[in-house]
Amino acid sequence: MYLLQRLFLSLLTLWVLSMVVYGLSTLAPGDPVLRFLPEEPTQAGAARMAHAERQYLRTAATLGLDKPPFYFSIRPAAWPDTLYRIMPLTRRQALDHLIGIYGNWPYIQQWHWAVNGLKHALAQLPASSNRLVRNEAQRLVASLAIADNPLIVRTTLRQLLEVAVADSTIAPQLEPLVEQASLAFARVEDHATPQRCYVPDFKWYGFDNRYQWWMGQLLSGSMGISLLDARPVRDKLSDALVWTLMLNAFSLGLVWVLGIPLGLWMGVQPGARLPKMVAMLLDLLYSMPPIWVAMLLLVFFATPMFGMNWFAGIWLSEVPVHASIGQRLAAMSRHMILPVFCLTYPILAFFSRQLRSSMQHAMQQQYVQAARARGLNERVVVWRHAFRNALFPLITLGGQMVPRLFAGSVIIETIFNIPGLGRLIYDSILRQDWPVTFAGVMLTAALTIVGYLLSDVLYHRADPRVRLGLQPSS
Amino acid sequence: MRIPRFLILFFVVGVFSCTDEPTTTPQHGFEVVVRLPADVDKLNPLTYSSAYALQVFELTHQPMMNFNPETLELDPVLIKGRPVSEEILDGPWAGGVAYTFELLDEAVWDNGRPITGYDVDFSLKALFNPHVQAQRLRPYLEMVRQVRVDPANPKRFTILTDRKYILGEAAVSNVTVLPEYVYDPDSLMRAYVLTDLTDPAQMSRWEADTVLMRFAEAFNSVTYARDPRHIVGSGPYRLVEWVSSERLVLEKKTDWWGDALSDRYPMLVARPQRIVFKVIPDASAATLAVRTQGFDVSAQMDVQDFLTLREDPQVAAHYNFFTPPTNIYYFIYLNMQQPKLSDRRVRRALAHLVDVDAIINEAFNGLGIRINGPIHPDKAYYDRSLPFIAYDPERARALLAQAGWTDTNGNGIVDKELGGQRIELELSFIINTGSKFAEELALMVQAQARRGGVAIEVLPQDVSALRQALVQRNFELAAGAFATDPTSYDDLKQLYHSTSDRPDGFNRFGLHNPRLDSLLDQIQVTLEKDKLFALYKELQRIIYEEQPQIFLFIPQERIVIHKRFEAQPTARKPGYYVPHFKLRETVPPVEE
Repeated sequence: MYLLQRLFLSLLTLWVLSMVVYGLSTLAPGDPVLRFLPEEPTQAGAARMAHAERQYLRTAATLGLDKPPFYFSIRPAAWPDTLYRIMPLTRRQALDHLIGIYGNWPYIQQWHWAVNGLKHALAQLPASSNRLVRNEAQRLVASLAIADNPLIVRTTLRQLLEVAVADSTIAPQLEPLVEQASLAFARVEDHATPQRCYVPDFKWYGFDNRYQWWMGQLLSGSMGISLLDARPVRDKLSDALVWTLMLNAFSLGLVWVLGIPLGLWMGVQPGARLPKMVAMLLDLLYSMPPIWVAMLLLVFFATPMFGMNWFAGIWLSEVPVHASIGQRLAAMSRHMILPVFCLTYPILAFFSRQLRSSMQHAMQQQYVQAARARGLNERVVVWRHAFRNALFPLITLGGQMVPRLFAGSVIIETIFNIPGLGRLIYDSILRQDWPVTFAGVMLTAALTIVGYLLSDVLYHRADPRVRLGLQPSS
Repeated sequence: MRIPRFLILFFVVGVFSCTDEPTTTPQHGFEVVVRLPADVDKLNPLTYSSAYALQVFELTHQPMMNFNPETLELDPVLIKGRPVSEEILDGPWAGGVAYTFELLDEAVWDNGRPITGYDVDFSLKALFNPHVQAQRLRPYLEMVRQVRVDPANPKRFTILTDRKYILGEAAVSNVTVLPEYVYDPDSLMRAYVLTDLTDPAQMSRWEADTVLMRFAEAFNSVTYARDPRHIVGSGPYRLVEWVSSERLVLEKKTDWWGDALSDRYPMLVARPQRIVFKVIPDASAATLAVRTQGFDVSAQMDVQDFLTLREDPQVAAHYNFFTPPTNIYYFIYLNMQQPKLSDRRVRRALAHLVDVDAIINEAFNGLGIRINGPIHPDKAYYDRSLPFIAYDPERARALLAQAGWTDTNGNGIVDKELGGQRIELELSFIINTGSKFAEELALMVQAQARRGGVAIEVLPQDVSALRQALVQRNFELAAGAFATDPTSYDDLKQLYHSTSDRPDGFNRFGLHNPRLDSLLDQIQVTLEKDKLFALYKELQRIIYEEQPQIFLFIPQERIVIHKRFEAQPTARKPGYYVPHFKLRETVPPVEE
């Protein structure tokens, strides 16, 4: 029952986290669609522009941007529930801005349609019309579509009217439409209801939304497709995870193997000089940032600068093409020593210091005195009585180590050129590869939560008094 | 205690397993190890987007002609000589140009079949299939309308374009030729004709075509972007292995057809037996790898580290250092549509308030080549008579005063009555958050401009937000970089023509100059050299006077190449050309 409760809470946490990550990714500035379209402007020409527009819509659809962002929205009543359908993003943002000023969507929508009408009319102008004038009109309409400032809208409309009237080949088709657009915008200004920007409104979008689409992809077998190289996200993550797990497994193992005896040794002889000095040394280590230590180690011990290049330096992928698994592992492990050291020492220092103090605390307890008084062997006293009780805080620490290690491996992987999960997520964020970022963060979160879950379960096993909401009495 | 002994054992094993690492790179055959600053995205010549992909598939695939890294001229690759260009006088493409090519008789695919004009036709049809993700390449070839293959000699073919264009020859002859048998095993594209696919009027029809979709689905897939068996071209190398985010291994094909012709055709020279690309994104990791001789070649070294390494005798004993010009230039956008910047004198004054030499020396360690305009200084038509605009706050103040900007309220910032309001000359300067250089540049410009009475507010923004501000013309000053190709003619219409001042256009300055427009239009269709050069000269003068941007400099590339090789840097991307590397017989003695 306890386990089930814990599991439920973990899943809940993951779910909330998924929404936070998703929310942050939608807040990233810039238009993600543009990354997939040519930087070069397409040559003017109605058919080509229409093609470019369709291409934009298609790309947006492959990114799920044609869906509403979430199950529901709570925003001021001035905003319509269909704004997400307006593309491209620059147009939507312009309208969004206008709504913020005037708060009267019905009129702004009329204005939006009027601009679209202008666009279509321009596309349908006969080839015999004056090309230069057509280009100029196209330019002005394109600026009109993204104008979010009433002043600019009015000036552009005026310029457009001048252009339209001046040339007889386009005036008959264009002039009435420009007048109509001007009228539409004048109406927007006349019927402003800015107060509607302060009335909250709840809108339900249903299940066909972008968040659900994302989650669906994440939970599907391939976990989505990377935007950068079209590889399945699952493959990218599993390649990287091998490295990160290897690093962290080594590191975690070392922390336990070295940290427990060290902490015990320091804990059982509180007054002695040597343990005190070791403790001080550990404090010193703990205070040194791994990024700096890593650079120093690399420069001193992995380059011939000081003649001490005893260790392999950064990972240069020196595995022969047809290497056996054994050769691969050998090559990898040679490169692991320095990064594992950098990843391990801060946690080792922290861990053994904690164990030292909880050991010291346990050694002063009455049951330890009593055990000694019964004439028990000192070894039995330390291991059976004191250590068992000093172990509890360690179990909690064990759970906390997982996220610490993952955080540390981002830096270590970058410096040592190890293609692990940390470097992958970092790269994906920089290059806005959201499917990989999203899945990577969720995976790390899941591993972290598993770590906590495990320590909870262990705690529960070690001390049956522990129940949800029931603190162990001290 | 038992545990410490285990500990000692662990480290002893670790140390010993490391000491056998060679301190100098052995001469393992003739292999070149190249560092890549990022992994390649897609090894597909039509759908790739990263420059590193281009660097790799240039070794596996070939175009008809390519720029020779030594001469920077277009040299034949798959063809016998430069194409014959003729103006088309009648028919649907009258006024366009026909380029006639003849492929080398020896040129064959890996299956032994000859490379013919039909393969060129297939490659262009694949490019113009609207479902193929080749959006980046299509605009360069918009003038292409038809390929006519000589039925008697399929090695001879003509590409027809519908307009005269200075970059026409370079564009059509730089198309990568793909083997149909690999990329279209079901011959789906045979049912289509290039002329129809390139017809704008039929565009919407092709967009709904399911066969084109089927071809594109396979062509865009990861199979044709990552699987070595499906990344096949006529080039000297084949992809053997690709370990994601780690390395790519290329091996020379045995009995490659081009070897027999390499003494006559410099672009068919391919000396290394193996080329290994290693992915090392972090700049300091790359610096460490130079110290351990972890690779042979790298461009884009960190500026500061590059200078340190160059001075280090231990490193200089093994590497040569080069600083060829890159093919971009840095500048500051001025939004001429903003009332504060619409006066030419104000823009000139701002140029007088940017100390470019100081910026090159302090923010770029002297690794920059100053420019006076958008033309690369290595070009024959670069106008040397236009002097660099000197840093001169006094002159700037005088120009500002002429334009009506003086400091009337004594706060150190010049001001002026504009639209019924007295406003100070305070300008926002948008820079990219990720760039250390942009940050230093902005701070220096801020301090320098202040001496001329201009206040600058620096606004760091994310790349995509910066791009959006430019698209919406929602900026005053912004840091920018444009490509300046040292190889071909410049077509600057997209940058300075008034029709390019649209949301998707690059005239983000809001520059409208009728004379400039007509020059840009003429340049596009002028094929006579003397006339063209005169037009370029006038163009440079107008841009110089208009000052739509403050021109800064061309950054220099930072390249290290191992001394085992005889190799020259080049102004062509990425700054070195691996197939031309020669292994030295003896490693030269260390220079003291």
